[in-house]
Amino acid sequence: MLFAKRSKRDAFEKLAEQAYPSILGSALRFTRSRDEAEDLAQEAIVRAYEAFDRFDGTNFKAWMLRILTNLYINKYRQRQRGPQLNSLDEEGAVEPVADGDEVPDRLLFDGMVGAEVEEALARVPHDFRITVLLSDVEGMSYQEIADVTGVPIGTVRSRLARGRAILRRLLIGFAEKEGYVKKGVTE
Amino acid sequence: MIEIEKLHAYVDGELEGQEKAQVESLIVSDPAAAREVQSLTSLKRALSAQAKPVEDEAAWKACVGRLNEIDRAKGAERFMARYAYALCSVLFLVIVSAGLFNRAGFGPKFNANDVTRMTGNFPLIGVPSNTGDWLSQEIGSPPTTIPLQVLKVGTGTHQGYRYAKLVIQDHGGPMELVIVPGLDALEGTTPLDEKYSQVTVQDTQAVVWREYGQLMILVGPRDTKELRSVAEKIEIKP
Repeated sequence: MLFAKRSKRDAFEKLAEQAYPSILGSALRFTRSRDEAEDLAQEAIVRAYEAFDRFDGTNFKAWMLRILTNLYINKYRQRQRGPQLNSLDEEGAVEPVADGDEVPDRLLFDGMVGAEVEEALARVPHDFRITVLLSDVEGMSYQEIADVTGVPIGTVRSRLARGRAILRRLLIGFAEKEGYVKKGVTE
Repeated sequence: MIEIEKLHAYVDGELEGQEKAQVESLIVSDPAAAREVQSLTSLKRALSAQAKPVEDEAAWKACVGRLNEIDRAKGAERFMARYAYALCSVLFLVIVSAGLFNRAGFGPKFNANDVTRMTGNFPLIGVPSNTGDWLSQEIGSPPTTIPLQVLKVGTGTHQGYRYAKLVIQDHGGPMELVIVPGLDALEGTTPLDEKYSQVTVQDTQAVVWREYGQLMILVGPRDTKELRSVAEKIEIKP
């Protein structure tokens, strides 16, 4: 019995240690606070350990990420600082990401560095940011995002389109500031 | 005009069948749609490439510490769950043993010095109309008959034991009777027979016996035989 418990602990610790950097990274992008992110990631590890018997053995990182996101939405969202969604953000028309500019987005985005992307992400309203992160960074399907965030798939679609549009505007703003593109070219 | 959200869904691999074919056809025929899809793909790639995992050894060690705490707490819970009956049984046995220990006469004891303190000066009241009732009321004694003259009575507490003191008298003079409910024995006594023992309290003889959960100590300036004959007259009937 004792050996079984020890073996379960060892198996969990091995998987969790591998997944932890991704979990902490996501927590940081969710909360935008180092302390809150560490608390959130630790709480997620604890929850996962307690529920490890229910893990289906397929994709530990995705399973952990679901726990983390659920935890964040349930516990941290009310305390979240920064821009909040309003009806205009949620309902606003989705504009195309690309327009007929001289610098293709492919070149623009590929030249971005981590700090710029992280800074732009941090300024995206949190519901949009979480949806974009779960889709583009964590590779979740629309259905998985809908399950984790507790919204219909239609809302996931609109948040993704809206979030990416905001993100693109912010990244272009950085590019103009850093001189990658001339101001007004991408307008 | 195709919905923008549909282009996002196409880039995310969320379209199938006719919807997917419709978007693919549009990409071929509409440069704006093709540019949009390319832009979205680039954005996704940039996010995926730049939003990297965050290594933090100290934060991970803190997590391991929490897991250790959980294991320890669960270990304690498991131990309690497994051995709860055994622990309860041991506790029960301890309580029963303590009770038996007390009943067997190994419980609390006073010595001659304690008797000296109890028979010392302390406020006495006059004679109650019924000594038996008074004893019952003050120290919870069972009905007691004292066929001697009662001169004074009083109550006190010594080492947590409430006791009664009566000054009684017969033709030979006054004596003191101390009754201590719950006390098992007096140290340093010499048995006279199965019931009575003898002890000297500050050069004065005393006879000690236990009856119905009370320790009775009769102290008086006379010999043991006389004291014992007085003690035998004191009748307790529960």
